[in-house]
Amino acid sequence: MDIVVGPFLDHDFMRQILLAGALTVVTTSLVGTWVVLRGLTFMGDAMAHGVLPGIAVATVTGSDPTLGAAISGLAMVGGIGWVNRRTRLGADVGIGLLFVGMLALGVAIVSASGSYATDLSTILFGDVLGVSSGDIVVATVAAVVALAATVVGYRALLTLTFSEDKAAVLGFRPGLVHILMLVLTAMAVVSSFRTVGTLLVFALLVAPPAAGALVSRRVPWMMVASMAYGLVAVVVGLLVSYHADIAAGPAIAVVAVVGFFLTLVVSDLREGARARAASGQGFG
Amino acid sequence: MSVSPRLRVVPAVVVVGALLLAGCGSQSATDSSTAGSDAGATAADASAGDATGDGTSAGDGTSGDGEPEHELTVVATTTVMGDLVRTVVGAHATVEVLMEGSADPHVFAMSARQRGQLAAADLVVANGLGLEAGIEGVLDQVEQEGVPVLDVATFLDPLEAGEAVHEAAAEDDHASEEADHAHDDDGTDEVHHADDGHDHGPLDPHVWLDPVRMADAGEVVADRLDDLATGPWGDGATTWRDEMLATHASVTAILDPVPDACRRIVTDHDSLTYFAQRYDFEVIGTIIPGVSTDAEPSAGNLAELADTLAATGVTAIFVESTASTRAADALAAEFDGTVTVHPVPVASVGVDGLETVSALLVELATRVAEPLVDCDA
Repeated sequence: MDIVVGPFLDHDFMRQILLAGALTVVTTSLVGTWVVLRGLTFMGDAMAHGVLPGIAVATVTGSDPTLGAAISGLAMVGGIGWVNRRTRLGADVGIGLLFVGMLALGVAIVSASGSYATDLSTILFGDVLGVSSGDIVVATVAAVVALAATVVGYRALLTLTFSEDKAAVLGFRPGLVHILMLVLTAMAVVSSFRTVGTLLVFALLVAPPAAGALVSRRVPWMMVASMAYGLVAVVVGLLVSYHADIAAGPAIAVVAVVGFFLTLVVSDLREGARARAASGQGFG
Repeated sequence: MSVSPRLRVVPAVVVVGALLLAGCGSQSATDSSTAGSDAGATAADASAGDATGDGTSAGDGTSGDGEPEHELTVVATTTVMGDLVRTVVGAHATVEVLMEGSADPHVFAMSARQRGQLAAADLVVANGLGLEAGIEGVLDQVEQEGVPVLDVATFLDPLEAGEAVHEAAAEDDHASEEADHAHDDDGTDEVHHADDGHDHGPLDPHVWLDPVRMADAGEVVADRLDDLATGPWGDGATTWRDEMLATHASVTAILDPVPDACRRIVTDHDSLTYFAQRYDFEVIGTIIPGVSTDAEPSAGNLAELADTLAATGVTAIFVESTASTRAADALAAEFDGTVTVHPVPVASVGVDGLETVSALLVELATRVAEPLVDCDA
């Protein structure tokens, strides 16, 4: 038991990271469930990289990186929406264009800045071990906003998840709800990139909700299951990082993804057992 | 796909369990004795291994046996800082080094265990000036938690990045100084005055490549240690100074056969500026503009560099031995073998048998001198 609890008892920073991680997981579970259900994971990935130029510019000019990331994120949302509305190209084309364009712009800015101050790998993989109380405030606000948006927009988001036409018929304005989704995704990334890095926000945005979707068919339960998985991933990831001396951010992301596949194996086995039981009954 | 209600409860139980776990954690008093002694043992091993390298520092009679106060634990970020700190503290404090010799300090991400070492440290000795960009956020946080973080390079009269590079150095300096002032005036820089490279126009973090500057580093560390505990830190600082000045003499002797006309080099990024300035080399260009290994070379810069190489007749490109030589090789290939690429150790103390900063500098000088001794310039 000491292996599990010891590091959290011994170190303030471990509890601090756990708290920040838990708050991030609340946000990413609420938003990520919609992302996963609507098949927008590529958009999540694009968003995770698309905030790079804003962060780079903010760091070079000494402004707030979160603000820079927010501006980049909104530019992504605007650009993706524009391509979707004005062309007949598939939705993923706009996402792909913005993804590669923003990522390349970010690398170019970092390279041109010629300084150590901006660091690609820190932005991508985050600084989960450097969580400050300010980060926790930001994470709390994001979690509250995500929760409010999910509760208020629940029916619209749910309807849109299953059919755009039905959403329109019910008077939900699918275009607007879609933008809300994009903005929420951007918010999830922007609010937590400093804690876990943009790439790992993406890991938490996809892996726990996907695992949640495996074990439940109702959206609220998916979200709860996702939060549980995400929290376990954070705890286990931190413990792996602590005991095996592995970089913390990547450890959490890998644990989250491995957790999904373990869940998949378990649910496959259960399906198989149930199918056998069902067919057995049939013959009996 | 349908799941029994029983399974759905599992996640909720886990959440509650984890929250309880977190709650217990925040109540209980911190008892880090196990973790502390563990880390201590590791560091003791490390310093024992190092003792053969600099026996001079450990040999004074004041052994710490009778001292009641607890032994200081100092965490050094890089192996360069590790060598410095070990020499200064001798056997009178525990020294832990965060990054292995071959790790790029600038893309390094630490583990939770290492984060624990930092939290438990009495002092963190970092190079600073953005060298440890990958863990800067953690270092800031550690400092806020009350562990002093010493950025050694900021005390050693750092150069602005690229200061020694351009031909129009005087003009550039002037311009960037003005930019600096304009920047300082906005007031936001006051807080991070010494430690943030980007607030000043980037400062070059590679100070350890100038042994004369580094000679002062021992006192910088000793002064800070004096604030924390009494110890023979001054003696260690003197040992370090002597070591650096002796290294300076060796390096000067090694480079002596290189004629003045041949003292022009091209490097992969702005890493050899201090070395070049101290030993009268001119860095006529770099493959990657800037001090960071994290940038990518631009086509324009490479083309310009090819022209410069052709115009000046410089025939050697020096690339940090841990970095890729792809761009340098491509550049050299344009010259049909007259331009050669040479890997040189820049930060890799603890790798390839270079256990000390002194050994690194001697090796660096040897490798730089080799292709330049009989250049055709």
